Amino acid sequence: MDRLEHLLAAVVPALFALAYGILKTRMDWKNEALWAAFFLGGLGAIVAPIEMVITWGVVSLGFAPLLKAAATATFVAAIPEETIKYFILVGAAEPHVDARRRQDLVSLAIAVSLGFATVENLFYVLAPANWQVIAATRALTAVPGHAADGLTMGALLTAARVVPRRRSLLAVLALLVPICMHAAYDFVPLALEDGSTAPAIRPTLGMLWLLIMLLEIIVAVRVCNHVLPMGREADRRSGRDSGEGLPGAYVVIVGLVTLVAVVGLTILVARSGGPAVLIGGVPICIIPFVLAIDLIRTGIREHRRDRVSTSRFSDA
Amino acid sequence: MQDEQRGHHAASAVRRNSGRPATPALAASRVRRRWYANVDGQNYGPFESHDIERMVQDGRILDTDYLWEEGGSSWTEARNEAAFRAMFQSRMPSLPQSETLNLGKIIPDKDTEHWGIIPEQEAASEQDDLTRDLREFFGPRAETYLAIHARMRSGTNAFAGGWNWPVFFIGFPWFFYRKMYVIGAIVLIAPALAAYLIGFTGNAGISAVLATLANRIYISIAMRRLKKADTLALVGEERRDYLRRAGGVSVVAGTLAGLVLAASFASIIFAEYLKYQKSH
Repeated sequence: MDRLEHLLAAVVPALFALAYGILKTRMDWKNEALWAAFFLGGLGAIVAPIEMVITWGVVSLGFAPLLKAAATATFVAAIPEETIKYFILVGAAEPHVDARRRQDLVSLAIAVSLGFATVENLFYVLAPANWQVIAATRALTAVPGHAADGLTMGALLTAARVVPRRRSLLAVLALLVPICMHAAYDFVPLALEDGSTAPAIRPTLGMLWLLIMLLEIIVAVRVCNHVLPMGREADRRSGRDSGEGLPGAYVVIVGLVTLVAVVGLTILVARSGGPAVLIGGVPICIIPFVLAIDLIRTGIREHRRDRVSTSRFSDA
Repeated sequence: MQDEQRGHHAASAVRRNSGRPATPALAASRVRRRWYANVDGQNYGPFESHDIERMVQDGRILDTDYLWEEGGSSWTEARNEAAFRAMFQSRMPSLPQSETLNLGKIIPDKDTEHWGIIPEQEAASEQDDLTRDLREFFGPRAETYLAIHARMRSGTNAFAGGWNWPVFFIGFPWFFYRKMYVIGAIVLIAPALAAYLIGFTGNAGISAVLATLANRIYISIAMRRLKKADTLALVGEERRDYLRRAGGVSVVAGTLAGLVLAASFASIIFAEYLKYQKSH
């Protein structure tokens, strides 16, 4: 039974984050391309360490503590992980026959990222010591962090497909921006883990981490909200978007449930005295909190649109 | 030619009438329903309702032929005649009863999976279409899978799907390579999950079962995709593109899955090496 709990603790946060992508793009849970992307992302997490071994040489050159943390975050974590996700997305998920719409790229990118995050999560959560706190902390930070990287990658790649003039630039940005975001996110925990980092700058690093997470999620959500209507319009013109989706009220409910779960997990983490203490406890949940709020906003907008179209229909 | 044969057959099988009534309205109205049939421009009858039903079942009266009920105001296409409409909607085409009728091969209909009679030329052309579609879907080594499909279609061998050696030796990477991602993931995860949760061990048995089923699964997925292409009413280049994307191989996914397999072998060897080091 314990083992089942471990598994659920590792998988459920990723499914919540995946729901965000599905509801934002009005994709179908049963879409085969989505699950293909998810499972391929999982394979990517197993293969990524091979790449990490290759890049490990860079960080063994003997840097100063903070520089070493930055080099490790960039070369050992961000570049291998985001590169592998990008190649899975472009090489296998995007060509999938069931990915018919432009906006599907956003869901697929999130699915690849979360497949990756799920397997990574399993490695952490299945370790017996203090697994509840580890699972809760990762559910609030690393898993939605991966979702934010995927969201940005998918949105920029969608933009590359619908804006032919800047196709190459946007396609390159779709890889570079998530690498930068991932490296910035990983830099702080790595610097804090390093015993040689001066104690005086530790609180500043904690605040910096909060700022990085806030910037990361704002960039991801804003880019996505800017690009999705373009993708939707392209799909509508090509006859691939019927405009159908789940009712707005349903999206709002999922957003509220996510919000409640986020608050519950934050309380659990704050009481346990884990890494949340470093940044004052509550702000650790900033990424999933913003995602849940954005989902509620999306739901309200969809609900208003549903009402307008219903009243037009009844007028007619 | 075929219509002539059908007309001839109808004419000889039933009692011939003196000719088409000049005006249907002149025919006397009776309590019993009596019918006339117009097949290939010739009138036949009168018939009882059950005679007409039998002829419809035998295929001697088609839905496009005309019927007139004594006392009725006009000739009506058989499929629009209320008394027999249901028969045309539900009727399975019957086998020819006369040696003079050559209706060709019987092949399964891709859309409905019903057995239908299709003229020989048309059957051959459908077979060509199916082969062409499957070739597009299978991509590399298409001939191997077409041969397996042909064996499965003939239905004479229970193990027509054959044995898949790559699946027996490497397992899930073959499914990823052939773009069956979800099945590949199940093949990878299910035994690991069972081992973790209930201590299941029996991977060799699973490999053997998978090696037996893999080709069958692949062919059935191909047929499902063909059906989907039909549902989407895809034709020409659009259809070919759909089938190529649905089938074929994914080098990226295959490589990734292969690397995972290699990594798992490497970790097993490394763990054994560590054990050996400890014991010596």
